[in-house]
Amino acid sequence: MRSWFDTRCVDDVRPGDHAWFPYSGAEERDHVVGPFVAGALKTGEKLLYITDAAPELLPGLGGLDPAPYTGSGQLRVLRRAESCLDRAGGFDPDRLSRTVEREVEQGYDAGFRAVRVTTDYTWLFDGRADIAGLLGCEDRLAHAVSPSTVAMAICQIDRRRCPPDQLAALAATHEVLVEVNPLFDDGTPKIARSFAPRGLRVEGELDAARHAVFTEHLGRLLADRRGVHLDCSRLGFLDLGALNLLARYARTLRAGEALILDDLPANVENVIDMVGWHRLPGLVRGSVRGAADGGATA
Amino acid sequence: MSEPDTDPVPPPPTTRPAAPFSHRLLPYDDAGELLAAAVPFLRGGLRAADRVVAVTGLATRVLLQGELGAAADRVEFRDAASWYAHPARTFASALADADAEAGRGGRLRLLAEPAWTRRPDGEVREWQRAEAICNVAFARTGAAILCPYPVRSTPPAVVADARRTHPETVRGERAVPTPGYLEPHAYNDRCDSEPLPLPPASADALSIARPDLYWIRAYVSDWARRVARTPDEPLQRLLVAVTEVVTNAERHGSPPITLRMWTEPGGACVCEISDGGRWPEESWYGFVPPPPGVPGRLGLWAVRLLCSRVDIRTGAAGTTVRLTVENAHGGSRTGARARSARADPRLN
Repeated sequence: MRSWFDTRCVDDVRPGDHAWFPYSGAEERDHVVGPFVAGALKTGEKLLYITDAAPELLPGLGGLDPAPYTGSGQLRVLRRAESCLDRAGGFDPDRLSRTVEREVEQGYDAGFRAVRVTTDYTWLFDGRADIAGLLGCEDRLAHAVSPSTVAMAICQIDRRRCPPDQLAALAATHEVLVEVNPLFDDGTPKIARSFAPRGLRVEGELDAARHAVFTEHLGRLLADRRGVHLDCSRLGFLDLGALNLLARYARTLRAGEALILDDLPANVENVIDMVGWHRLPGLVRGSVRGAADGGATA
Repeated sequence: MSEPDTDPVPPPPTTRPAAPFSHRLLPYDDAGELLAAAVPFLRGGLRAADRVVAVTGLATRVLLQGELGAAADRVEFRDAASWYAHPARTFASALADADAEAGRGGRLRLLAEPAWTRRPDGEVREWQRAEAICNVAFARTGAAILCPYPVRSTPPAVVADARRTHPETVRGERAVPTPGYLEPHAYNDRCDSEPLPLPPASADALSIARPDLYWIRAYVSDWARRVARTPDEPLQRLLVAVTEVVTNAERHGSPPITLRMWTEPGGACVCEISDGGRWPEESWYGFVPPPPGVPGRLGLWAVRLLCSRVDIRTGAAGTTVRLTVENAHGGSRTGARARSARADPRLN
């Protein structure tokens, strides 16, 4: 269903990407929007952020004073009333499109090498949503951004507040899905945070060569001794040492907490079945999404 | 190469077994002799509220049930042909059961009639090894194990070895020390005195200077798929086993590490890892799973669970670990048995 669009981590979003980012909570949102904002300021790119929040509260500033950036025009924080609402205070998709097109053009003229655009649409789903208007606006944004060599956009939405059918319709108007930057990625394995449920996603192959980095990130996540989920849907190989490591961490958790292995590929699960889940107390088989074999066995 | 490092996890408090461990041989000529010893053994277990398990063939089961009457309902009967499916897996799950009983302050009482005595030599050797090592591994559990061997229908050499692996022999209602019993390490060394058959000349050989586990797995996968036609399921188990053994060789062994692969007649895929190191004496070579309560101790013994067969030789000339996986699902005598064993890791 999603195969036709690209998934990219936020640091890999590039000009021409009209991306969307359905998030599951503030922590996940800040893990993506933060680097998107910080990346713009660090690399001399313009950032347009449409929000009613104060500039100094934007994620990614890390305590930085936004004033010099707003002063120079590199950071543009526009309130909704001045960018995408009509006189009656309703959502005006047409105005939003015009705002974005104008800001991109001005940024280009001012010599910024790229213009990043982001806004959160979640407020539109508070009962008076005009989803048709939003979809039309997204289409127009896509036409403005996709062929561009300077513009890139991330459309945020809190997936918990958006009905599934509308979420699917929104997804269809974007070519790129954004996810968090990985904590570690050397081709194999790749380790990234996951948020709903809270945990880690491990992709590729995990063996003694990468136990240390895995331990580092897992240990950090388990500092409060609460259980987490490991998204294994793209896991190709897990060695016995990694199972030992998981079992040892599981033992440090509070009573009743567990490490839950979600979407284990059949081959990896079979190995655990054979050594015996009963020998790995604290490890629990989690949900099954009918995951494909995650490129298992090299 | 040596066994994997032990973890810095302290050993669990040792549970004091409710009764002393025993592992007795019951050599018998006829049904009368069998019943004279086996029935008191089982009844004694029921009286003591032990968990009583009888692993037997159909004939023995019918005899025992007839003699025990209503008490037979409290004995867990298991079919010997399927119970003896895979030496390492059977051993590990029986030990887990014995540990569980000991942990509850109870005792596992096991009547185990060998159903493997006419299987291929190599497999018989592994079951005999299990008989010997059981004396060390089960001691912590206080289990009571009685092994009836029908002397007339068992190959004489197998009966002779049974006397080397059982510290006591039952005569009527009495148990006496078995003359000729060998200390388990000595017996194990004896099993290993014969060198492994040489790999075929056609074996694929690869010398590994600096082990890159990812690359080695890619190499093994490619060979196993292309040449041995190994299906994904056994292949993944082989890859986990190879990764573990190479990781150990790199950590504890000495170069050069050599990887050899070939296929056995019948299609099994063999992967052999040798290095220049020598394991410490008195190793159990992964035959003895760690006690319960110590999570995260999967190592060589888990490799034994994953493979159809593991052969190890270590000495002055270096160490060789030979891993065999069958092409069939589960990797034991039959796929169906393996699946039922997986569904319930307990004693059935």
